[in-house]
Amino acid sequence: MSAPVQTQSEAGGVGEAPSSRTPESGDVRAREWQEGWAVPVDRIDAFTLGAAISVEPDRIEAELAGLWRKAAERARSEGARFSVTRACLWNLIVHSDGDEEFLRTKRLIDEVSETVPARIISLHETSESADSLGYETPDGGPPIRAFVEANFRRSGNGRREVVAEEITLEAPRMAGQRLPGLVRSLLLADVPTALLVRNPTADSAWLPRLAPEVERFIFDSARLPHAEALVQVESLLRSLYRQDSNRSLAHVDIVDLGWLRLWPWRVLVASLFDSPDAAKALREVSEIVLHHAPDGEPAALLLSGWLCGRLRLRWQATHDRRVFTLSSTAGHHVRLRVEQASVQDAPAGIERVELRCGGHMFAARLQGDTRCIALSSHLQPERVQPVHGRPDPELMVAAMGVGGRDPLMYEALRHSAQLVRGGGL
Amino acid sequence: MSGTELHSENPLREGLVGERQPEPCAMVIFGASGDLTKRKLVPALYTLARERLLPAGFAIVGVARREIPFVEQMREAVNKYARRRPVDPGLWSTFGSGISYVAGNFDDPATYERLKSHLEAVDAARGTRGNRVFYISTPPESFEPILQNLGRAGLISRSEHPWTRVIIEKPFGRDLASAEALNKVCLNVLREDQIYRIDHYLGKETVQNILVFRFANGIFEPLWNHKYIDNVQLTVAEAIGIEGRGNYYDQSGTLRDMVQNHIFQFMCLMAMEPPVAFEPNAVHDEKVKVLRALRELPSDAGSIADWTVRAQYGSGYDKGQPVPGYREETGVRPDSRTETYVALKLFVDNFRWAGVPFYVRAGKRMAKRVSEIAITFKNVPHTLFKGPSGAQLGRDPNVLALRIQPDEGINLKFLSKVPGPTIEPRPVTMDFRYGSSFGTEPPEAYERLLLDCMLGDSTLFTRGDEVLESWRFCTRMLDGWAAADESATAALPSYEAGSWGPKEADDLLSRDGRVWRKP
Ligand SMILES: NC(=O)c1ccc[n+]([C@@H]2O[C@H](COP(=O)([O-])OP(=O)(O)OC[C@H]3O[C@@H](n4cnc5c(N)ncnc54)[C@H](OP(=O)(O)O)[C@@H]3O)[C@@H](O)[C@H]2O)c1
Repeated sequence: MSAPVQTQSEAGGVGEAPSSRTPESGDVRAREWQEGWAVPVDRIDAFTLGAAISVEPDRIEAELAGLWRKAAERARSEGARFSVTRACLWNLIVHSDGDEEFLRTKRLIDEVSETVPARIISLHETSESADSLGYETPDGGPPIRAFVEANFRRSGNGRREVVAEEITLEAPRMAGQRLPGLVRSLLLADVPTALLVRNPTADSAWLPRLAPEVERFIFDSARLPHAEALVQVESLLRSLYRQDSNRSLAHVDIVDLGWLRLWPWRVLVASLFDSPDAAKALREVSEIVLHHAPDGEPAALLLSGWLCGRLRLRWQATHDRRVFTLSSTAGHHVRLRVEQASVQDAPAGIERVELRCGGHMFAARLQGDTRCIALSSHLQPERVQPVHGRPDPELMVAAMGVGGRDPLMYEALRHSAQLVRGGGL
Repeated sequence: MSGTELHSENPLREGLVGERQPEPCAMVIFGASGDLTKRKLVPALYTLARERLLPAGFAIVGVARREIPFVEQMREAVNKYARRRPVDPGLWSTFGSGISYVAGNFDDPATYERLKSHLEAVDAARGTRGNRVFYISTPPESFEPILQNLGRAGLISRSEHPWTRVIIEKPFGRDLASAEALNKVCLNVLREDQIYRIDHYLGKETVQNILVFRFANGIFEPLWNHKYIDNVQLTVAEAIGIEGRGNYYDQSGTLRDMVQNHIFQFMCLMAMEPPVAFEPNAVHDEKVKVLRALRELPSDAGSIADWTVRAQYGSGYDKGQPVPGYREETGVRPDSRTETYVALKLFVDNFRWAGVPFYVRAGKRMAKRVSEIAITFKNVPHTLFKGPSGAQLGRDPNVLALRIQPDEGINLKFLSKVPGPTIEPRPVTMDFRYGSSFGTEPPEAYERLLLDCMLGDSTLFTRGDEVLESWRFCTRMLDGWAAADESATAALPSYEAGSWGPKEADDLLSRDGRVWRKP
């Protein structure tokens, strides 16, 4: 985000708050300002350019209604360089802890809204203390600041098409418990609600209150601080949603962006076993080896969890931290090794997956420093498939689509947590 | 959906629901040096490969007359036409290595002997396991010799393993007799479920959405009948002319080129009863019933004009540039009577649609490119609202328009009160646009259709009896027109290029007290 952009407030225009209630921060904050954009001259202009406009938390809906109406009027005027089409498929609540994460999340949702029009409610918890803010709200609690802005996309002819809105609620971390009520009042009726919390293991006052009320809970296992956090996430999800068996998910769909990132690996590894001969060989798996990039350990464990779940392998023993003995339902032992590879970067953090089955090796390996994976087995000619890591916005879009519902994710998470914890499924 | 997706024995496939991956197979394209192969087919296959939707064992074998550097040409084509460009060198190393070419004349049995041994080598090298899709993308004269020669050379397997499927491009016949003859040839060598007659309009997302709109929403289906619907208008308008294809078009005309296939398919999807399942035969059965219920048009020269209008475009302007009239186009006979515009009034005589006219129009060089189905609902039985002079207000009917292209979406027109102290109803629209609600890029029609064929799913293709029924109907019309031409009773109207069609088409509706929509 660049420097705040000051605009003139439209005389008698939309949502002019009484001066005594005007927030102290700049009236309009710019989103990433793009070269060649005009500097907004008033609030409507700022809104249609996607700048964040400061509003009173209790006037958010009224301000938005006015801004949309005026923006639509202006879009009809001659020479307008944008059009207004309001659309909404989701309420999307996103949480960010601290300014850096807020900026990262903001970029993500700007791109997501190009594809999925949604009312976005962005919760930004800051590290300020109430004292440092210098004043208190009438009810004595620390203040919540609110901003609204429009999200848009480029239409085919290059015009900006204003489609959806974003509401940012900014509060010091200690005021977090004040957020759920406000958020509930802002949810649009008749569209489902998704909640994105990248790292759900961080302490949070509001998460346990809002999470059970949404239709889709999205997190990102690749953003977990360490592989042990898989255990925490698994137990958190169990407590939030009372998961009592692999598949009996409550009314909430749980989506892990890290799991979606692993999709190409799962498909490619699965494709090694499509022929009847290979599928037969898979029943005799004796060793599984996964290599991962330095930050890919949670991903490698999750992928191992998937293999355990699908191949009905149970944890038996842990040796040397990431070397495991598993047992199959037929009673034979399988060795699983999860190792760090020498590569720095790999699609979804994985460098190779190898399965030794009945004396033959079935392997999916990253080729050198390309983004191509070579698939080899004694049953097929080697083939190469590029794997384009899907950028986060694309994953988010997938998470909000039908692809987001995947009961196997929870199964894989449970098995990976079991590997990390050493038993106790 | 039926089909041959992989995974039954592979536990790792479970849950990979989004990925419908077919069994290994070779795709043999007849007409490989042609325009369609380069612009659509190979780019679509490349995109499928990129999205990991092709099976591990896959190969493309091109067949055409000339010796050409096929692999290089296809790489260029992918670079130019694929949805995801430029070519990814890593992917191309696998995809390109599976492409090969066999040169030969389609009429020569030796071509098929060479093809046979080539395919055996492909099976060994690429693991395609004897499964084949033969895509016949050639001029229609070659359809029959190819089918017969494939049969004679033993290239068609009638068993389930390995399987053979054949995709046949349009046009499937030019009248009932030729379509029946072609169908017979097909059925001599193939079972019906091995034949995939392609209509690429059915691969379009918005056409498939007609079914979702009707059968996944509770509120529309109860209104979808003669009790509530006054009339239906189906429009497929093109702004372009015949684009240098005068020789072809003059033999064909709009009825054969657009109505018999694409428009009748839309109409079937719009008018059919709910199928018992979303499965090929269940869907085809319902479509055929619609075609069978079409009221026969009179075939005599005198009365055909009460139901149909055909016309040719004259000169005019396209986006401000002067354009020639149809008869001045290269390749068109100066005394041609081939229609570039058709308007029809049809009835589907069944319980649901009794008395509801379906007005159809299609043409070239029209005001703009648009395909849509517009459903006009009946008016309220009694109008409450009156203007100052006592005139009835609020007689504008509700219109639901399903826009197929461009600007895909759905809009509903209804009346609303103009703010103020009087009651003044004014039409407003509720608008859904695909582009706004789903920013994702829809797949190309050919991607979807090629994948479906490899999966053994023919829901979005046309079954033999559908094609024959629609030809039966259209041939009667063609006969009526031929009779009119012979008795020279009917002058062929013309319309200005860049307009919405001839005056006669307006008269067709005004006789019923209706007007065409301006989409
Ligand atoms: N083009 C489109 O956009 C489009 C759209 C919808 C449907 N279609 C349908 O798709 C089919 C193909 O169209 P197209 O435009 O690709 O046609 P095209 O460009 O004229 O190509 C015809 C192909 O057939 C080959 N061929 C013709 N006679 C042959 C013979 N006796 N022996 C061997 N090869 C022969 C030609 O090979 P040589 O070049 O070696 O002679 C060429 O590869 C047609 O049925 C058309 O109606 C096309």
